[in-house]
Amino acid sequence: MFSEGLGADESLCQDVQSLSVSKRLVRSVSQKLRKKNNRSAGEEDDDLKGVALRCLTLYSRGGGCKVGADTSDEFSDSNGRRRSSASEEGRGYKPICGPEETAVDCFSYGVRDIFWRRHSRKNSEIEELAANTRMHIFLPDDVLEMCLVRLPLTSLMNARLVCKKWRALTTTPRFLQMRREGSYQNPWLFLFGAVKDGFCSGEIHALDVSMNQWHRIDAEYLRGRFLFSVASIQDDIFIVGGCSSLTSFGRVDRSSFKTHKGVVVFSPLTKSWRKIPSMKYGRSVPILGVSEVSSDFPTCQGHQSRQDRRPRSRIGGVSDVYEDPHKLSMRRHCRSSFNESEASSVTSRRTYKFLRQKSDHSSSKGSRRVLLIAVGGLGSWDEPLDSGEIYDSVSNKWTEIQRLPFDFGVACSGIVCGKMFYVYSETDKLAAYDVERGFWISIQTSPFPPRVLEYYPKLVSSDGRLFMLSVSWCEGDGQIGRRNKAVRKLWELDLMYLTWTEVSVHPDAPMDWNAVFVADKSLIFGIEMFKIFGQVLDFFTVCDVSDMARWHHISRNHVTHELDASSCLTKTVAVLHL
Amino acid sequence: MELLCIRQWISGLLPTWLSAWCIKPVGGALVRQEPEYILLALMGSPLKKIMLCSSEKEIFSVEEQVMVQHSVIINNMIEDGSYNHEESKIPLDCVDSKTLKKVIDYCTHHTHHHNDNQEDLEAWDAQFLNVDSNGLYDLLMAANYLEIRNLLDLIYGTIKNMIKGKKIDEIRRIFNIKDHGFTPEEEEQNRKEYPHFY
Repeated sequence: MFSEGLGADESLCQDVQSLSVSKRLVRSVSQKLRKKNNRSAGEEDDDLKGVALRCLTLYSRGGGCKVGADTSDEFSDSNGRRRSSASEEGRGYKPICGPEETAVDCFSYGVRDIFWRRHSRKNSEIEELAANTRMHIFLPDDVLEMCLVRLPLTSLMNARLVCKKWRALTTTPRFLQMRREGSYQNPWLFLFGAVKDGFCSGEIHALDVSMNQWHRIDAEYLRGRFLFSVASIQDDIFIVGGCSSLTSFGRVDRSSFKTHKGVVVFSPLTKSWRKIPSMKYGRSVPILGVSEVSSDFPTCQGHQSRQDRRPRSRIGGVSDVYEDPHKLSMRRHCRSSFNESEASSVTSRRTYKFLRQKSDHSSSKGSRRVLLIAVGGLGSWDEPLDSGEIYDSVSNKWTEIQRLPFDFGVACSGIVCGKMFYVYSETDKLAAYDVERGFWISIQTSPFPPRVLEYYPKLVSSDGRLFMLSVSWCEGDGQIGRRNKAVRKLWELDLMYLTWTEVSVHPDAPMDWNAVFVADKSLIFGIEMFKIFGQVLDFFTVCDVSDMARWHHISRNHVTHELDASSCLTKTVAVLHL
Repeated sequence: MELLCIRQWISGLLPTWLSAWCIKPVGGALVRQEPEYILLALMGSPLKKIMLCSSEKEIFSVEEQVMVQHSVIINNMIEDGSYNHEESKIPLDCVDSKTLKKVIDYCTHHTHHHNDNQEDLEAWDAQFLNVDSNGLYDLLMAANYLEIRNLLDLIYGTIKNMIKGKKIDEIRRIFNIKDHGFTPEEEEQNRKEYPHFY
């Protein structure tokens, strides 16, 4: 018994010892983990620097430049930066400026961001991780849902692959609705029109603005196509028109090309493409406007094309009287309405009834109804067009709308704001198409801000307000009275009093006359690309119109350093809230 | 068990003059209060207190204002008059003492420090949630029961951060997902299509 008692004590001691040993083990393991991460960080330094150098040599073929050296310095700078990933989400979008973690991902989806993520964890987080690596408790489904809904898109895609239950939880319409309404979504910019080595590669570069990560999407459909226009709504991007070379497939060829009527819809969430009916006229760089309307939104088009016929002379033509008298009375109505610039209630009622019947056999998309308007652009012989067409997703076809006002000129920019589609011309005229009533209105505003002639203003609409970005001369430094500096300014049009007021000044010198500006909720994004020092650089800026409209730079990753200079011309951008 | 009874008996016996001198019974122990309350107590306006009773039958005394601001359940209880300040205590049978103490701590801090700047509050929150997964789960259930919106959001955010940016294998390990439910072919397909996620 005595020996047994001792034995029990001994075993107790041994147990205690083994416990303490295991604690030591845990500590040493976590230390090792930390060291390993540090070492791998060191390795990554070389790896990333190596890649940067590779990019540099690509450019030295084109005529080596120092700018490449700058970008590699950026990489090494950000290597030294660490950032906690806690509490950055769920606050909505904040302008990113100052030291930030950057992740370049030109070549494959997410390869490099792995390095960045591993690298950026603070030591304390690693320790914490070693301590609570296991959720022993089973989380109830509703709690799990509430946590998953807060994930940004890339993590959500990830979570869907974890297990079948998580996939089921995150793909219900209710979940997606909760995600949309709870402002857990962030803006994503999609850059189209990349030209590499002379070929329209059909690559789409997507920027996840909140995580500052680039992803690349290959689009077979867009190979060889250039000078198309894009418009985005909800989860879809419409890609309209464009040209493709006839002689040498894939190249940007302005000498022998075909202009397309085709329209295709790209949905980034599902990476799916679908075709919708083609337009009536082939257009390149059409001015697009897109809006979502209710399923019983009254639209008045279809018979408008009759107005387009200029008044025919009675001599030599078949007299109108011998035509269908009903058609005659309709035309009389239309012409009078054209003159009064107000559609008569009779015709609008008739058309309204007509469309209401149609909507009874509506598409399976439920109550979501999208109207896409395409006006202007260049036709098959590069001639500027003044015709316009509207696509209704419910009837799934294009109908021609009234042409642009007679003395309007060439449309250079357009945007939908409220129920009007505003279009700006190269000769500084503003017109709006009333989508509901189906006619153009010339808008007389206070004098437009005087601008530099080569830079056509761009219209943007955010939060129901109408803005314009225009480049004008202003006083240079140190020389009062002499206008020798060009600056891009953001103007707002007061829709009630039709006056232009300056809102803010863009910080960058306007080097890109084909700069693209797109708006998402209350943010306006500016995308400029130009070739400088033998390299194509891109500059992304953003401003928040609900908060001082100060411009910030985002994404200094220069994803375009492998693209041709003609990408600056062919580029076009769409923004989605995903 | 006997110890608890004695504690309650003592705190029940405490005369009001002692609370006026800002020593309050919390969880059976006597705890010193913040200086502001000393002043207020001296000025003769004692802060209204309510009693919360944990599942282990321990009584916690908290300012009514603090709990009413954060917990929808307690707010409703006080508003519709079912709570009598002199006598009743709110029984919280699904919250144990340790968790209840933490919850009270959270509400008190956020009420008193709501004017602090964002970073300090966030740092305090991060420190507050530096608990093991059991403790986190208990806090989550308590916050859910008491309907404390901001604590819930905080915990959801913390769990979300456990998922965000992690590889799938790691997530499965953390959340103890032994069977992912995909067929071997599906899993194979996923791994091939998105290798960087795994």
